[in-house]
Amino acid sequence: MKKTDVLQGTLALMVLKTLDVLGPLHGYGIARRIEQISGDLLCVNQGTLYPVLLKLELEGSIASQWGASENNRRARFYRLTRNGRKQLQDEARGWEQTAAIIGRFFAVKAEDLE
Amino acid sequence: MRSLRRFFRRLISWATVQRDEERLRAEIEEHLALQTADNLRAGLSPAGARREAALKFGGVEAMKETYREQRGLPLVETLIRDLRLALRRLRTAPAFTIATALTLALGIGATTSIFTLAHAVLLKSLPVARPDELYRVGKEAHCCYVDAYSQDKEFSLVSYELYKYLRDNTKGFSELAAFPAVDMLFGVRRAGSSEAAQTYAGEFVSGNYFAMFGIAAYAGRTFSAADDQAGAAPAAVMSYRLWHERYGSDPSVVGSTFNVDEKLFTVVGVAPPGFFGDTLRGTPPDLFLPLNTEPYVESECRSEQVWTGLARTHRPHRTGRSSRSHRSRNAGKTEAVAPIPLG
Repeated sequence: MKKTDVLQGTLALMVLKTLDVLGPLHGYGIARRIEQISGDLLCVNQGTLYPVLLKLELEGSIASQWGASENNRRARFYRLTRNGRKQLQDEARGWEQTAAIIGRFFAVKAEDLE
Repeated sequence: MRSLRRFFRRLISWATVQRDEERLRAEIEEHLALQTADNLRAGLSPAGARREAALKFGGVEAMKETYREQRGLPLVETLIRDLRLALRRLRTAPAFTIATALTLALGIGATTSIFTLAHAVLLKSLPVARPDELYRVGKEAHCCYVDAYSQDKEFSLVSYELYKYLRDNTKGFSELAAFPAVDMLFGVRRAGSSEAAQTYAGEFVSGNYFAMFGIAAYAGRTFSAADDQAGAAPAAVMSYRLWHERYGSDPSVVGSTFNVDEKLFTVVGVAPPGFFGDTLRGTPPDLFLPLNTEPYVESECRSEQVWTGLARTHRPHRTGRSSRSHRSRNAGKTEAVAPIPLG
């Protein structure tokens, strides 16, 4: 499994968290934010973000409406719904647990087990 | 829950495909414009800025495909596309198409009609109270009932006297009813009306005929033993079909007088819908008359038939009987009465 595959799978979670932190945002804004946070480590085609946004919207986690972007163009703005917030909390908890378990496994040294 | 919501959203978005495509196009446009603007600010040339933005965005068509998979009902859309392709292919091979369609049509049609028949004849119970308690006496359905009456036929036909003897002396059955072996047609007209007489099938039945079937009248009453006695007022029971189709379910039919082969009968009741008599045949009886009115009806026939009418007691009748209490003894009883001589 390539590193990016795992990150791809968590793209939805990143989108949710981004909207949670920054409020309503258009697709480009979300892409930029994810890029910034991941420090360009996340090598995704920005275009792949849009299917994820659609999926989240169909699931009711986010909602969207047309608005004006900073350069006064028509842009689609996405915002977190109540459902999405709940989903984010659930998934964040799950992710922390997983990370904690993996972390503990790596922290254990051979002498600790004796 | 979430998948259910997604399904409904997909259903809605399926109906708005065109708008979704437009929306995606606008979003891509906007995304590229913003990225280009940023690239320009970073110092790239206008052409380079646009190219960089497109590169960063990645393959648009591949992304659109993924996007479409998320949206709408891919399964249904694929199904429709497959169906269209199949129809196109069928149109290019008409001979094959017609042969296949005919084969299918014949197969399905034949199966359906045969099952319909089997259902009506074999599976559906008789429209009577307790069909499982009914027995027909004798195995042979018919034969030779006028010229060559024979006891070899296991009593499918008996004389009236023998019927009465069996009815009164066989204890294993609650009722033993008699009805004729032949189909009969009567000219029927409502007495006093100007309508032309119409021909309807009918039959003479013993007074306990309806009681044996456990059938109550739809309107009025059915026969009692008193109706089937010599000298009783001539009564008739009409089928629901005749009452409904010819007389428009007119309630005044019950109690009014009818001409049956120029003899007057009072219709005392209407049989329930779905009751088509004792035998499955193409012309189910529309009039039921008491057995004892047979000489009354047939007295004006020509001389050789008068004999038949007068010799009613020798005229064989098919009998059916029902046993409510001693079903298991039925077979033995039938054999036990077999040697009884004709009176």
